[in-house]
Parts: sequence; C-alpha cells; structure tokens
Amino acid sequence: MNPEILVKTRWWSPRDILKSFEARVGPTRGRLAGGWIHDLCSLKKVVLLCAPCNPKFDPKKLGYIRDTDWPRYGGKCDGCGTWDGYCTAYYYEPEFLTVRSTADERRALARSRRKRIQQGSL
Amino acid sequence: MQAAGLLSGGTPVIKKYKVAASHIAGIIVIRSATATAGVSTSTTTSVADAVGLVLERNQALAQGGDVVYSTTQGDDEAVYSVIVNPDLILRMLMSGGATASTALTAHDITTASAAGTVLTTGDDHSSPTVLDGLAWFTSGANVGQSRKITTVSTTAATVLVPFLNDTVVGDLFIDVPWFPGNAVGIELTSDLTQAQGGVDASGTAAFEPIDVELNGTADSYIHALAVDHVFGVST
Repeated sequence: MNPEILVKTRWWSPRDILKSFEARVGPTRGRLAGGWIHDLCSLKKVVLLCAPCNPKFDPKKLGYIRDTDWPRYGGKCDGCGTWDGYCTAYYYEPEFLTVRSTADERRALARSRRKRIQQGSL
Repeated sequence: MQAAGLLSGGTPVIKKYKVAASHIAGIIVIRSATATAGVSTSTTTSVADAVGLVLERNQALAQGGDVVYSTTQGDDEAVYSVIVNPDLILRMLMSGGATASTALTAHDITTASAAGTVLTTGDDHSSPTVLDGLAWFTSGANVGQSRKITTVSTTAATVLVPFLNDTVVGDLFIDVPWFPGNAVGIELTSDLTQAQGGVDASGTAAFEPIDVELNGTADSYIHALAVDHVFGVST
C-alpha cells in the first residue's frame, strides 16, 4: 500500500501578485473579471467588453466614456477573454480625443471654419 | 494622431501587443524586429511594416506613473492596445515644425496677381519644396479656397487652376507638401503624433494622404493611410 502523499496548496507568492499586474486579455488565474477591469481602468487603458459583460461595467463611475462613433469593435473581451466582433470600447475620457477623432469634433471645427471664413480670416 | 475612420467602413479591431520600447498614445508601431521583446517604434521618416495605432500610454498600477519597457524580472510588462486595421484612416494635425503643435507658416503675398495663379512672397517655396502640394488662403478675397501647386521657385508658388479672385498684397496663405491622392509621404513630428509641414515630403514615411481639413495655422489636419502595413494585402 502506497503512503498518502500530501501536496501543499499553492498560495499567492509575491511573484504571482506581480504577475497579476501584467496587462493581458481577460482576468488572470484566481482573479474576478470585475477586479481585473478596475485595475485596467486605474491604468487608464482601453477597456473592451463583449455584449454579456457590457452591462456589468459602469464607465461614468471610473471616468470612462463609450466610443459611440464606433459602436462595434472586434477584439478579445477584457471581462471573459472571448474574441467577439461585437465588442464595445471604453476610453479614459481625458485621453479619448488624443487617439480618436469623432464626427462631433470635426463638425464643430467645420462650423468654426465657416464662421471664420464669413469673418474674412481663417 | 487620431483614428478617424476605416476606409472600408468595417469594424476596428483592437489587439493588445507587447512592445519593445516605451510609447505614448497616438503613434504608429511597426513590426517586431528579430530578437526584440515586441512591436517597435516608428520613426519620423519611416512607418514601414506598420502594425497599427497605439491607443493608450501605459501606466503603472501603483503610482499612476508611466510603465516603461523593462527587462527586469518583477517589473510590469508593457502591453498596449493597438488598432490593427490596415485601412485605418489616421487624422494628424499639420505642424509647422519638428516640435508638435508648431503653427504652420502663413505666407503673405508681396506681389499681386491679377490672374490669381502666382503666389509671390518673400519666402522660398522650392526648398523644402511644396511642388504638387496644396495652397489655401487664410485671408483676403480667396479665403478658404485651395489649389494644387504645380510650379515652385525661391519666391513663388504657382497654381494651374486660378483662384477665383485676384491675389492682393498682404493676403495670407498656407502651403504644405501634401495633396490628397498624390503619392507623397509624410514626415512626422519628433513625438511621432503629427504631420510635419515645412519639410520635403518625398522619401518620408509611407503614408498616403486621403483628405485634408484646411483651417488656420494651428488647426489644419491631414487624413492619411499607413500604406506599408503588415496586415495589408501587400507590404
């Protein structure tokens, strides 16, 4: 008869905790999706969520806005890690216009241009 | 630079890529070089083998400071979201110099042209050349009108299709080396986020201008595609 072998349960080592900070798609082992997405938000990263994960995220609370100009994105959901062609992208609001040009922004500039031309100087 | 649309009208695709250097948001990253840790940084004169547009600057979880690319064990890994569509339309502010957000130069007409074709100034338009570029008036009777430049000299830029009105001494115009649909490159500003006017565009980064927004010296934009793209049909 073989003796019983006891295996010590592996717990979070400092290295595991550091590794959990890595920006990868979907939550790391042993982490809930919500905590993972909050970490992404504290890094001011773009958050991509599929339709089932989308209602669980409150962008305003975290200073994020939804990209309404592009209502559909393809990519891996940050909540469940699934590739979905119908994801929604959320950007950290103060940095949104650094990387995205919206129709509203261009419309405002076009209006300003027309006004300036009427006044005789661009 | 900003993502302004997709030429095909499809869905933007975001990928999270490991990088081989620290980046800021709004720049193009290029194919990973051999034996490096991830995608590489473009340069002011080359975006060959473009991978896509970086959407975020990386920040450290602890203090909110930037995460820098690091090979030290235990450091945060630098990973960025990148829009990888090869038909991504990039919108870039036209800058008048290598430093981002430098105002473009407004040239003033020093000799009137009754034909509305010769824009004579005290400035050199041949070096750096704006031949096959674009000129538009920001003041005077032709304000808001633009034409393609077909001849340049050390004192004048000439257009083939006349402006609607005579040009008058003191009228202001801007000229840039780009023209939508014309096969010229774009040199980027030193932070890689804007299009640098005031330089010779030939032989620079492989962008194809597709549209322009012609406003004043500080708020004019060019739309372009990175045509040498790794996910394009041909690179």
